[in-house]
Amino acid sequence: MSTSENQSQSDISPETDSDAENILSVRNLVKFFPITSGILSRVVGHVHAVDDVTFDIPRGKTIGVVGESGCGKTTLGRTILRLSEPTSGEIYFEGENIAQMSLRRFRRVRREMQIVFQDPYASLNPRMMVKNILREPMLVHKTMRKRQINNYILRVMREVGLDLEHLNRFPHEFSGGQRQRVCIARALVLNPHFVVLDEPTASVDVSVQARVLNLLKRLQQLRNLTYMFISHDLSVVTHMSDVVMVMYLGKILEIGPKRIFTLKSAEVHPYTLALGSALPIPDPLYEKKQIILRGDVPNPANPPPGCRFHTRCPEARQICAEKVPELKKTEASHYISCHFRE
Amino acid sequence: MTEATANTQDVILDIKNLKVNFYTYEGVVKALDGIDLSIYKGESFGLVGETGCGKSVTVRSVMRLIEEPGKIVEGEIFYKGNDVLKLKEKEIRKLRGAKMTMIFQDPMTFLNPVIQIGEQVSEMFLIHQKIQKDILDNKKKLSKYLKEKVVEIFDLVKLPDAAELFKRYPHELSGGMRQRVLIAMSIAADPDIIIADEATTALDVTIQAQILNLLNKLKKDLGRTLIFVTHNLGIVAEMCDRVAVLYGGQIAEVAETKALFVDPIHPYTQGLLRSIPLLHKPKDLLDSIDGVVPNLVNPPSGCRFHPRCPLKEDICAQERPKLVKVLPEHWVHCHVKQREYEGKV
Amino acid sequence: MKLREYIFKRLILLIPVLFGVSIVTFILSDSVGDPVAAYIGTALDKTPPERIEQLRVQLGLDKPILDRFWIYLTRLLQGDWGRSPTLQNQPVLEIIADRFPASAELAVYSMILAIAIGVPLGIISAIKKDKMADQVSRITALSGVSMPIFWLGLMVQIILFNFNVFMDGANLPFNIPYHERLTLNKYVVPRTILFGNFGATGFLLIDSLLNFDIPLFFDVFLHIFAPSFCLSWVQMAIITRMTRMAMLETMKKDFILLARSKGLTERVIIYRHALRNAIIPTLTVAGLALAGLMTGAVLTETVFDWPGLGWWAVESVSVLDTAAIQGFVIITALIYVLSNLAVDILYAVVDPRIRFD
Repeated sequence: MSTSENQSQSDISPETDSDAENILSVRNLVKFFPITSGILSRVVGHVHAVDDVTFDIPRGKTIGVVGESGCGKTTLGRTILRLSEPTSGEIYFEGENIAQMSLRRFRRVRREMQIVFQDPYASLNPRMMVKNILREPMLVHKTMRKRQINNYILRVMREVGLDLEHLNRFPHEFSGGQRQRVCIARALVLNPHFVVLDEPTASVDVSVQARVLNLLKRLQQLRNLTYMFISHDLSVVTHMSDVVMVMYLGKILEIGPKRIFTLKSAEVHPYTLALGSALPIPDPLYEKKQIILRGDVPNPANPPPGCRFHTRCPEARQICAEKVPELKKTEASHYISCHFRE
Repeated sequence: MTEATANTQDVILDIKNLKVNFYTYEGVVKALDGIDLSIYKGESFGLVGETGCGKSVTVRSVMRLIEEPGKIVEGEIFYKGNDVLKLKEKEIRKLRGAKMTMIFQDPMTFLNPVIQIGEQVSEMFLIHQKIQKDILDNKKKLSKYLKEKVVEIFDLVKLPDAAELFKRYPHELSGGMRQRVLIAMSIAADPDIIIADEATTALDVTIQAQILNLLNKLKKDLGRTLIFVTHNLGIVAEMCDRVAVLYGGQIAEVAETKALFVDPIHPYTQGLLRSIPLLHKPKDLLDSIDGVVPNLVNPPSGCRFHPRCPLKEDICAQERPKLVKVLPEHWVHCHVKQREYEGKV
Repeated sequence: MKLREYIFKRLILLIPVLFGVSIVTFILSDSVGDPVAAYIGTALDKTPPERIEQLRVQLGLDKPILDRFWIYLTRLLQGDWGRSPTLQNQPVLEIIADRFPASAELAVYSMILAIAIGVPLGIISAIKKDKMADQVSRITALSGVSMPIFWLGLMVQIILFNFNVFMDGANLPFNIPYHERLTLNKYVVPRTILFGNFGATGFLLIDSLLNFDIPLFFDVFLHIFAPSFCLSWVQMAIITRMTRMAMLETMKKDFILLARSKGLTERVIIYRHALRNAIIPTLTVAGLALAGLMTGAVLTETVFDWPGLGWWAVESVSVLDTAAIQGFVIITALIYVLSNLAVDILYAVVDPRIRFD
């Protein structure tokens, strides 16, 4: 691990004023899903999927979002793209607040922000040929003349490593890795600036994963893309990201440099530390401290008061159950939400 | 590498030339193409490989759990000197659950949704344990006895409120707890061999750590042979004494864990290890293996890895290599590497 | 623990449902045909216009529609469901009370028979998939769904007739009858007020036993044999196929593999692990089919002169007997809602994953 890395981080502080640097700024974003009950569908509670989240994404960088199931990472990605309407809060994309924007105006912005889903098979229409899958978003958004479209599609196909002959095939004729390439191509045909990658390699094998990850990195350089990389796999997120964000039950517990999972215990959030220690490392020579968290992740419909993590935290004290800790800056571009990390 | 494996090397399970086919509409899938494997008593053994490499089929063959349209077409599997594949259905049933057990991947689908957990676990005692006749004949006594036994085993796998859990149904438990129930079931009858088939794949990383920790503890306390079937190389590195790497229904390499991760010999193992991102050793781009996983209806001739292999020679496509010991406790299934290491044993 | 609350809630829901049904039936009666014509019957041509007008006033047909609905509703609640010209102007409610048990008894016994044969047959069929036993059960089931029931009924009658003739020489103490519910003029039907003197459920098999009338029980049993045989054949066929499908599906599930890996015998796996899961869809189908039969298996009832609701309903439709149609629709709705509830409850008993909230 070199020291040069943490200098390259741009500031992602919530109080930063360099808006020009940030392609996306999220302020106090909340997304609750109502839980209904009974014959009259009375709302009896809310799933706190994303609960008052604030962060920035610098242009051209990758922000990694990690967390266990139910932490809200997928919902966060979808809410930012307004695939799921935010309950409250602001989302500034290239300076404009898109959270309250009318859908008609938002359509223009939408093509700048794309998403690649986890399961490429489920997200591709099985009855459409690849060329139509790629053409459709361009026809909908009218970004190009029809004559140009075909040429452009060929270019994108080459970029993602697909052949010409693949154009006339259906999704089921591809392997998992190729299908994910089609999904990536579909996201890219509109020339987006920002792409949410939601577990893009969760359903492929490791040797295929390596190629997809390499492709994503190459495309980022080629097109100066900004990524939000969502995954439960710490090593993949670490590999891909410039900045890593750790979520737990809808809250951000930590935003820090990519190496946070290998930092010393006093420098990171106790949950980050536990995550890093829980991950089995494919290297028998690597020594690590073992921290076993007790219990399960609480139900997001009924999150614990105070710090969300206090029920499982080895360092929890009285105050943790009472007061929600703020996301505080501990050093340059490193933010932790914990009463005992300053 | 524990002393047990280094010195005694009592073979508990000996698989010889195992071949399994699946007869599907697309054709005959040659899922396993001559697997040779010896597993030592008391060790933790890892079987790794990507989707479709045959790791699950191998362990299911050991327990004779291959279902239609699959069929074991050739080979022998010796457990304590007896060929499992030649046993009668009644005899194999005495092995299953009693001598060898399996912890499956998804604890939700593998538990019966309409039967109480306590009942599902107590079946293990009911069929595999000698219960005194006076207890067996008295319904009340029997249920009390079984409940005691189940609570005991639940405590062992650190399930909280064991007595209360008895009457619960699977859907009322969290994923981690369900996995503990499966583990409880698998150790209930005190088996010799416990097979964990992707046992933690469906779990979150902190819960996975809890379960791996539990398995480690149980292994230490009970001293049983553990077989891990997984695609996660991290789990193998942390849990196993020895590892076999499978590719396309053939064994690529068998070695002690440290040797395999530090000095892998087979080109596939090398490629695989280089293609995973490491938390503690970041690099910009990952190495990858060219090509795609073979279609096993029509597998490549010879060594099944040869179309993707950087060291490929003519012989690789013509002749299937044998699994040869090239170093102490290190077997490799590769013509090129075998020549390179010739005489080093 | 929550079950009682749930049942209560569902029963409360009956009120709006039945109210809705009463609106539908009212509109039905108001818009279809001329009630006066139905009331007078064939004598319409000979009736003077003054008499018709008089009848209109008498029947309240001159009042505004809302008033008429109100009157209709209060009458319903008071138990005055009108009279049915189809059956000698008897009160509709009385006819229903009289005929519903006949339909229900036939339906329930047929369904019990169908399940008792269909489920085991389905299981055997699934276990011995594509073997001899499966083929036999498939043919049995296919013949069940492909034979029109009126034809089957007639065939059974012919066979029984010949059987009775043949058996005459054997001096048997009985014949196997194929008409009506019991031998008329021979037995006294226990028809006391409910629960007085052991009461009358209307289910003659039960009533006869409650009154220790063994000869009557025997007679009723012989009578119900033929129609329930025909009716259950069709239901049995459906249940067999359903059970087979569900069993095959369940036997592919992961938890069956786990059960095998535990070393359980195939018998335990099938009956303890698979059947409990496979029975769920079968129960639903059987429950809803039962509701359909309860309101009258028209063809069967017609062939076997069974005094149930089915025959009466068809007859009243053909002569536009609105009071009868209204009553029939209401009772049908009631039965369907109740049997849906019963199926839901049954579901919850078999499948612990279903919760009431």
